[in-house]
Amino acid sequence: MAVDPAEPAEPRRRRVASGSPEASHALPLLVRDLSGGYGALRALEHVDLEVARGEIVGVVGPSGAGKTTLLRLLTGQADRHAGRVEVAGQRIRNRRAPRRVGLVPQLGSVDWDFPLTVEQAVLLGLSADSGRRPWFSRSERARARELLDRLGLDGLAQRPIRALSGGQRQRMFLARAMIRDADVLLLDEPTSGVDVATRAEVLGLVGELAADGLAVLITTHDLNWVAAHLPRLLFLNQSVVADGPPREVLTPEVLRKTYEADLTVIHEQGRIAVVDEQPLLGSAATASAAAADRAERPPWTG
Amino acid sequence: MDWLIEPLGFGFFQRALLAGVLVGGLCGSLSVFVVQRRMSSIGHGLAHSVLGGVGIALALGVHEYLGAAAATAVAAVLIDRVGRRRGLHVDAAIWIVTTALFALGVVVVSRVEGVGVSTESLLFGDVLGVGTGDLALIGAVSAGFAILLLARWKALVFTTFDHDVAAAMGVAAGRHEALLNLATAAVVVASVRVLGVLLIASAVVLPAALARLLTASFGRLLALATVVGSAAAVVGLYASFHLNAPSGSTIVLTGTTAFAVVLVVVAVRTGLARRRGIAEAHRAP
Repeated sequence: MAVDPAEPAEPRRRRVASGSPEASHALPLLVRDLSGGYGALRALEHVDLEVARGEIVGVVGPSGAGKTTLLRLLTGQADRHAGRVEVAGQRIRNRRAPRRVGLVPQLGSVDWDFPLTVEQAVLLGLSADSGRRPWFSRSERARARELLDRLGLDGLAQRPIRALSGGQRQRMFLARAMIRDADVLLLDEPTSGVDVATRAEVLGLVGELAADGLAVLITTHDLNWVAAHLPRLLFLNQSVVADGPPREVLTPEVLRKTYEADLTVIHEQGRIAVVDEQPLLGSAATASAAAADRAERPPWTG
Repeated sequence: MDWLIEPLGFGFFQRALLAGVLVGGLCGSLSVFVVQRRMSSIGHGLAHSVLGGVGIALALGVHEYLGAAAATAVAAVLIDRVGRRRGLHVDAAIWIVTTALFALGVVVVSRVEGVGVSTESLLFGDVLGVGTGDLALIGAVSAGFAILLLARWKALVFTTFDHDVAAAMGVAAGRHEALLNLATAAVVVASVRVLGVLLIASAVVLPAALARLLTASFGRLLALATVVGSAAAVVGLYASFHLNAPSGSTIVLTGTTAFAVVLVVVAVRTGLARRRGIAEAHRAP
């Protein structure tokens, strides 16, 4: 499947959200004038964001810019000071985890020696909705198997989670995030600590899920990676600095406001790369950045 | 077989066996959560703080279990407060708070006359002196913990595995973490009579550590750790009876010996499997 980075992927199938008929036509994610943080500490303010079905948005910014806080506000894990969040037309109360939002955490934040099989780890995603009995029902297990098959993990259901490769671990967490019929997928730094092949694998998979109608938000520090592969970027630095296609928002001025540093944007053969023009690196850095960018481009981006 | 049957003729040994099996299983099942949450120090610390509570309770003439429960609650709050200070970490807070309560207990127990409780039995356990009241408390805590596990199993496992994602996916992770902390305090208080404050730490860590060597499934880990805890108590109590040694010590030594044996067996098996793999790789064309 080829996805033009300049165009949002066209959904193949419209997913029907629960609740009213209008819910299925509502935006999967709508954020209006959102401000919040931790207790009285405000980490993010005045964020407006709309993500349509099939859209993938890369959230970028320096450390402390509020990327993780945005995800935590969207999942009810931080204090909302003002504004509103709607998921599939349903207004979400402060400090409440929305029903149809799935979170994929950073791989490095997980105890991979934890005694769970792949199927058990995926089923845990149903913990909040499943009944009080201490086991999962046959239909819940069938749903987990279906997702594992869909994500290419068939045959690995009974393996311990520590036996999975980096790409398989990401797939397992995508299955766990989706098992609650998610409309919105949030990926926290999926490129952190994984090799180039795994990045390409994850992005290919996320592209397929978006094409099936999910709205996807990806936070990352890897500016060149998202600039090369995602159709839309959201620049954050305590508030939204810019939001749009890479060609429009990836400018020296936006980068200066976001990173408070002078960075150079290079357009070469229809591709964009950002380089830090350090005096000693000069053109060698430029060349290596463009080469790295080409090497990391996953197959589905064409 | 006399060595097996003879002790059962004594009422105190029957009560001790019942208390040992319950406390062993209780600590064993709790150990799974203590070890997987990497909170081994908190079990050790709360057990130490119990001595302070018992000492003050004896001095005031109230029931020692009341003092023990109050001490674990005070310790938990103080650990939380001290651990939040910038530059300090929770492990430092645990040892500052709980050793202070432990030292307070030693001073008070040694100064209060005619309390009928020896420092030695508090430190190392006195399972042979278990009474009906002790059994009732152990039974109530065991039943409460079993109900908690059955009713909230999935949420407890998810919270233990990944607190933040569990919370983001609708699990009341904070509440379940608090329930586990409360359960830890209750288990520590209920186990003091059998194991003593110095030896509880081993009972809430060792069964899960041993079981983890044998299984990679959380459910089987719980079952195995519970059985290991109870079995160590039974073997340890017989050893205590026949060797005339403190029961808490023999229970802990039984568990540690079993752990060491399993560790060696698993290491040898892993080594042999690795050798076989290398040999097969060399034989392959």
